[in-house]
Amino acid sequence: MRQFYTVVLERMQSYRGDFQTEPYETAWAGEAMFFVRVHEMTGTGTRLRSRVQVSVDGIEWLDEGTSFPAISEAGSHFVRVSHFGGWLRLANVLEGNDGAVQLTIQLALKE
Amino acid sequence: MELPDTYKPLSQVIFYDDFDSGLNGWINLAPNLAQDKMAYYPAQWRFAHWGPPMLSSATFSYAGTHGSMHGTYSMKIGSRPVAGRADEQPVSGSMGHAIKRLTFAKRQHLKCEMWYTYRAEQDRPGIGENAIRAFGFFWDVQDTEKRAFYGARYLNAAGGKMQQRWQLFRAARGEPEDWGDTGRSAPGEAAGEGDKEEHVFLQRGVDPQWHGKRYQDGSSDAFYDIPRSRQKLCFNETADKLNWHYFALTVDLAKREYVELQSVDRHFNLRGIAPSLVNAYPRINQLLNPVVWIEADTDRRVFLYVDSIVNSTGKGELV
Repeated sequence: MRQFYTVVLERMQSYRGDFQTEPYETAWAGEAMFFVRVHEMTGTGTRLRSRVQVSVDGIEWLDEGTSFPAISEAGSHFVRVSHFGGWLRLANVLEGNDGAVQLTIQLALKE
Repeated sequence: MELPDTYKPLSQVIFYDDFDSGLNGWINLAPNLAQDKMAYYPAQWRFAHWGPPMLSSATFSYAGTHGSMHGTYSMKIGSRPVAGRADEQPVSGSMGHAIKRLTFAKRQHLKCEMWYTYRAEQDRPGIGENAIRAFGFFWDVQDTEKRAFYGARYLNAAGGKMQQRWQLFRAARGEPEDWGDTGRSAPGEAAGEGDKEEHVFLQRGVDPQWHGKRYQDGSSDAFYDIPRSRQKLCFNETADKLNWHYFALTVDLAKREYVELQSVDRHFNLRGIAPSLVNAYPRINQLLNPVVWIEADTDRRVFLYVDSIVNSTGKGELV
């Protein structure tokens, strides 16, 4: 049976600017899904742009090429990634004027 | 899976987790959700952002993969790159935790052994030894009358100054307000039977890893400093070289006292020292929750790696 583990990287957390999820080790997994659940979004023209990043050491980060569509309201979204090596994180840019977002981010890993 | 000779368990092994085959039920420690909405109790939001466990290959930029003591993977717990002052309670994200949730059948001896190591993130020059405030192991355990926290913590540094001594969970006398947040923490006994307003509140002695009045040298109302316990561990000479350490804590659930702490070559006799005790809470009868954790002293991430961990129980023999 294949190993499986879902980690909650952000738990109903609020941000007012750009942020990255904490480095998470994924070497054992072959496939992954990032889930972003936006509980609340405030401000004018607020948009969340999230993209997947990989790393060889958990310190230097490079874009993997997978991005979420721009998120402009509350709701749930996901992306799939594979062949990602030892680390994954999500880099997040918050666009707009005086915007804020409250969200939960989960990473579902499978062997 | 056969237990390596490096472990000396009591007569009945409760679990042996070697993290080459998954996380074995270890999960991040998060607060209780409120009853009326999908949100944490107001006093507990500070505890919602601790670092989670992960399966680590212990890979470094210029060293490559260190692996673990018994294979490739260990369980790693990390903090965020943030810390409060040593005389403050830990700020949100400055600790990482992993917890496993069981129950126990007999009030007898209980022993935890693990092989572990600890590091500061190699994101800057310097070995980072004094970026690590503390790490440790504890049980949250409840019998029919009392809830107890038995734990040992290695106080490594406080405010950048090396401390390198061992402490036990044992709440000193004091005011409830000094312990920390005293708000609602869980539904009360009658919740769900019509009285949805009833709750339990935090008692002085609960969750000592982040509660209790703290002081600049890393001492705290939540911890008892083991006399003559200063011990320099094998941190090694650079941030990407790690050495595995043996830890063993034995307690007596019948007498509600500590028995012994072993750290590498040192043995500390702890007989007669009581744990942190409070009255029993609803819905956690016979609870046995082992926890490992680490705490940052600066704005540098710190990591605890657990190669493997064994919990065992028995009638009191120390093998």
